[in-house]
Amino acid sequence: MQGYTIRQARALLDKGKIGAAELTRYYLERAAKLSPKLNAYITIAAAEAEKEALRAQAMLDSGNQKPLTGIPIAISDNISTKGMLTTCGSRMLYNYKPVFDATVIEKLKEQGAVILGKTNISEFCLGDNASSFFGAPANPYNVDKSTSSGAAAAVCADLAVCAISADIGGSIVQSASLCGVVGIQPTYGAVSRYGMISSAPSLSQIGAIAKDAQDCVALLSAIAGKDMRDMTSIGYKSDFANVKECNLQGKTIGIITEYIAQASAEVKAAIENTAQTFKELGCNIVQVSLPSAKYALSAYYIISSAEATSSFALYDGIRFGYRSKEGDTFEQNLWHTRGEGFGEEVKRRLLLGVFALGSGNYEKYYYKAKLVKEKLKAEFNAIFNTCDFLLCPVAAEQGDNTARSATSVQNWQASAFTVAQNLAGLPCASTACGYSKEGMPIGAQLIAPHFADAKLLACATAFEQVFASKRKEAAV
Amino acid sequence: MDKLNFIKQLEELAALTLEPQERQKYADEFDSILEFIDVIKEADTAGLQVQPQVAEYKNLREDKPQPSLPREQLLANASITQEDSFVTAKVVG
Repeated sequence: MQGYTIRQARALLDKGKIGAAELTRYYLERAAKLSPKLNAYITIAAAEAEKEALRAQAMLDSGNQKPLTGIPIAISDNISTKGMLTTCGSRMLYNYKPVFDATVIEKLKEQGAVILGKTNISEFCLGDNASSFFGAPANPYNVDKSTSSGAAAAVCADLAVCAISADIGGSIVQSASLCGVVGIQPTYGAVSRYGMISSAPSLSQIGAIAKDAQDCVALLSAIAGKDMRDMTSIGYKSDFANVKECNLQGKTIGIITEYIAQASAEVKAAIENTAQTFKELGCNIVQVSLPSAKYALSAYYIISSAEATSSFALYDGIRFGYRSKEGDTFEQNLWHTRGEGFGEEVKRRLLLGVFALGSGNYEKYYYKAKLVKEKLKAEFNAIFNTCDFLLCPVAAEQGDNTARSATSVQNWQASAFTVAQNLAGLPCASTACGYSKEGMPIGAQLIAPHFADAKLLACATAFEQVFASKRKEAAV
Repeated sequence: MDKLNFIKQLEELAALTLEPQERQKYADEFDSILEFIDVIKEADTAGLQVQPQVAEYKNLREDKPQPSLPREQLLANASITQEDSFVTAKVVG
């Protein structure tokens, strides 16, 4: 047996060539064997997965299967799963078991998908790859290097067919890029965040990680939609059914010059080759400018940190999660609980957040950051008046994300090419477009206008079909 | 105000207690963080207004009571409970 795409597994399950239980066992065994090496999962929910596989088989046997029935899926550990450990990669929630399912989990269960377990993330999706309380996940292309999400590592190394992940500043596309798989962050509001444990609600989104763009279509089709429990969710009709029609003739793709200018020679060459492929597919390639890109990182760190101060007010150690033994009064106990329960990066961001919201600073920092967010939206909208898609690198230096920089600010630069899309709420995806001289994947980032998620995945599919012969498999 | 006292003030606002070595680390790096976020001051945002979220206040459910979660489920994640209640440290002296 080998790792499958959703479509391959679907065909085998529907034809009865493999049972849901057998498929689930295969992935559970791989996860149990390889997860310690990759640190991809925080929780492997074997018993629950086997029960779900039996339920899926019953759906198959009765002919009531749906697109994800029997498909083994990994879930990012900041998405609530009823009765299943959900830690957010933090000591603060090391023992937390939600009492309800997130909307996306309900939707997956309705489809008969099999949840294999919860994957490693940076603490509350706020830090870099080393910030998880459970240690950084390793990159299957080179286990001495890390990646920012266990979900991408799990999909890459066949520890799951696909994954549902969540981010606030580009973690989905960054980790997908590092692991050579496909990640999509959908339009803000496309997928309900109800049950996502978010640090920055105005930026956070739930998306998909899979082996290819077509699998992302299957996942987004299942989880997208309006939800009354998330007032930012939007019930728009994305034409996922037509994603297989990948005719790019006459489409215009803009290359963001500000990002290309900062990329390493290796990354720049990979993006230029990608542009050439799109040109051969009939696209017009143009250079475009996003002048406010240089302010995006500052705006992102101010807004996300400020929102975290509010979002994290509920971590008091009383109702759930870690509780310090120190402190005789409520206030002392609360302060010790948060000081001990949060990790280094989360505490840094809370300090920045209260600073940016403080008296005399609110207008200068927080409000100004919100204005920059509007400026970025306007600049993207202007570009999309003439472009169908945008193309840029995911990161300036691709493939080597292991060595932590000397300062926190240097670490923050890793998100320079992804945070603007979160600020603007735009759909974006990463797909492998090359490999570094060390054999590490290089990701091409594609960005589309709001609600053009299906077109974005069609565009990625067209590129994948050309690039397929150049793909290199991971070492693990 | 010296940097350590400045960080201590932020700690209080963030409802945190830091270890001395942590406080020193954050104090040492705060100038570089300030320099990083100060970039935003250069942005020309004249004429722009902060817009509300796309669907804000347009997606509200009907205001009807819904069933609550069972008390034992809600208490199950608490580290200390007593008589079907959460237990906090002393609030008043």
